[in-house]
Amino acid sequence: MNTPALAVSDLRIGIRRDGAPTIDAVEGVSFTVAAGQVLAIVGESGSGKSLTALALPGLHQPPVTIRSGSIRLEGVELLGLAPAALRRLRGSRIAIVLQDPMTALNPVQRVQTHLIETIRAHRPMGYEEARERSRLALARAGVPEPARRLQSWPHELSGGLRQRVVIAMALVNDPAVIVADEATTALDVTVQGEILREVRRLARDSGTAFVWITHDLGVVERIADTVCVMYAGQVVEQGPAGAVLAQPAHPYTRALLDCVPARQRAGTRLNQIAGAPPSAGQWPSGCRFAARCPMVRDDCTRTPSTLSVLEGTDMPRSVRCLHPLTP
Amino acid sequence: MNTTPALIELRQVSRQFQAHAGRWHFRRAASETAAVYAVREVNLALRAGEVLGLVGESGSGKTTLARLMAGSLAPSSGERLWLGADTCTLRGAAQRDARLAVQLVHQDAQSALNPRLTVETSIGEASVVHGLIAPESRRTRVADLLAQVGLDPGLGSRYPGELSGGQRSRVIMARALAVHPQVLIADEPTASLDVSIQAQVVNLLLDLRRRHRLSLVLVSHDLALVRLLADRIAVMYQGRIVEVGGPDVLIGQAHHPYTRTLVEAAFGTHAGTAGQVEVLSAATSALGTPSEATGRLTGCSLHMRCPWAGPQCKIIEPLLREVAPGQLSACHRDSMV
Repeated sequence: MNTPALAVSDLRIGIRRDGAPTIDAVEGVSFTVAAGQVLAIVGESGSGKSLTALALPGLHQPPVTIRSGSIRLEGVELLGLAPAALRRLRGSRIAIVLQDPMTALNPVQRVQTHLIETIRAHRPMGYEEARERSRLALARAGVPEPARRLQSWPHELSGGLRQRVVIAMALVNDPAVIVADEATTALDVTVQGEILREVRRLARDSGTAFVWITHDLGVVERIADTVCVMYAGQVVEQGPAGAVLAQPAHPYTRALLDCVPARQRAGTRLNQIAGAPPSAGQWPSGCRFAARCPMVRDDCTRTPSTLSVLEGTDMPRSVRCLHPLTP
Repeated sequence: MNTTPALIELRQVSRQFQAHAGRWHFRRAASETAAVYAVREVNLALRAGEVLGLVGESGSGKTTLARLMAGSLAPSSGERLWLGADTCTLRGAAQRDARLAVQLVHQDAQSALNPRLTVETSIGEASVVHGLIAPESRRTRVADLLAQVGLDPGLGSRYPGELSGGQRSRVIMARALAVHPQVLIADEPTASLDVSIQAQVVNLLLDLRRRHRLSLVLVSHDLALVRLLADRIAVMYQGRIVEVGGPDVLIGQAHHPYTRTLVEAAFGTHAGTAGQVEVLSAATSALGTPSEATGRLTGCSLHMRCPWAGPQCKIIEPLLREVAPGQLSACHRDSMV
């Protein structure tokens, strides 16, 4: 029982453009998520976090291709799997929740149709039984009055309820892994807080592993056990969420934390990171954060930084920096 | 008391929209179409030189109130005063000056810019139309404005589609500044921007405010952000202002249950130990989900969600009253027997 729910190693994702060489948009991403754990991937737009999210259940579309690496779902290698075999796993063992719940739901189908279809696509089951199972899934996702909501149309639901329905669809077949890409970003803060609490509860009670993609460090703080911080297509820091947020070792993680309004004192200017992140295909040769780094030194712009294990910590942490911040 | 009139004052301002179900609405009698109140009986003043924060969840009426304050939307009832004069009574040059003095920085920089106009035309057009500058000097004026918002003056010849999100936000700020306003009303200036870029845009807004002696209305769903910038914060719920106060008072000693919920949502995990978080969370879920802003008009709009609701909350609508110096709240809580 030591096989992790999801193990990704050295994932490299490229974007192929007509007549141009393939650009590496994501490289060297490795992580494992055990059952009942929540891994957060944090990064800004263009950091490659959403590409990673889509690639996990094999939902990436050309021109995006996986160039190398390995994605193992409960020990089964997903890369190179036949489309039909992948389709059997998707929705039953690995599920995805996307940012916008309105586009994830079919506007001309009732809530129950979505859920029953998801169940019966993967196993033979009678209608009434599937409907009862759907009702339980809605209840587990925190939908009030689940029996009545089965009959609802998507447009009758608020944004928070819609996202709960999508989460119910994801967990109706008891998958090992649920990938959520900015699943609470479009929601109000109060609704977001409630959904994050449900997710924590689901991870604990059902043993579902979550990969939670977000740009919001406040969300990471609330739900994650472990965290991967991504910048410009690379993981720059990873480790236990509490330790990384309390004592970041990479200057980018530190700068990102300093930008969070809730962590700042009133009266002065906000902390900011000068400049803008580089875009895919225009990666600098040295450290990719060097141009914006407040602690940049001469060798940073020349030597590419590698992800290495951080010494002197009791928990496994790694950081991609030539001169990591010492706690 | 301060005798100088407020820059902008709203008195008992309401704004309603007709909600018609489906495409057959024209067949229905007017009495059958429901009126949705986006803003209800709001009294609010913007004092000279202050930063006023406006927070609330989506659908609370923040954007409608911002547009009412900017004068780009007419109230259904109530009046809007500019320097003490009802804006409906202004005519001619006085009316034009009052309009130019308040500029709205729209929520979504992408859709606020015409994709077929260059940055230079977008920024400079209003100044030329209003005769503030001669058409020949448009280029130099726009270059100056672009420099002020931290952009390369060479961007003037570009189209909005060629700019990044952060750059577009700066362009709409430059456009608002072009007509020498006294008040900027920024509607979610940082929504859809990355965290690191968000701080740059907010800092720019503060720099511009200092340099041009602007008063600022900052509309945002992010209480943590507004707290850092605002002198006063107004909290909206279902079209009404439910609490007004300074940022420290509002975060530390929020009076209204809804404000407390927002504070907990924004700062919950920063409040300290895990035990505290658990307690605060329980209070949040007790509030449940908000209902539609239509229909029922009696009582407090929060009473269905409020764990502290008493019998009078269902019947009597609470009005804003002073609960502490400089702090107004619309809640019956301590007046209950």
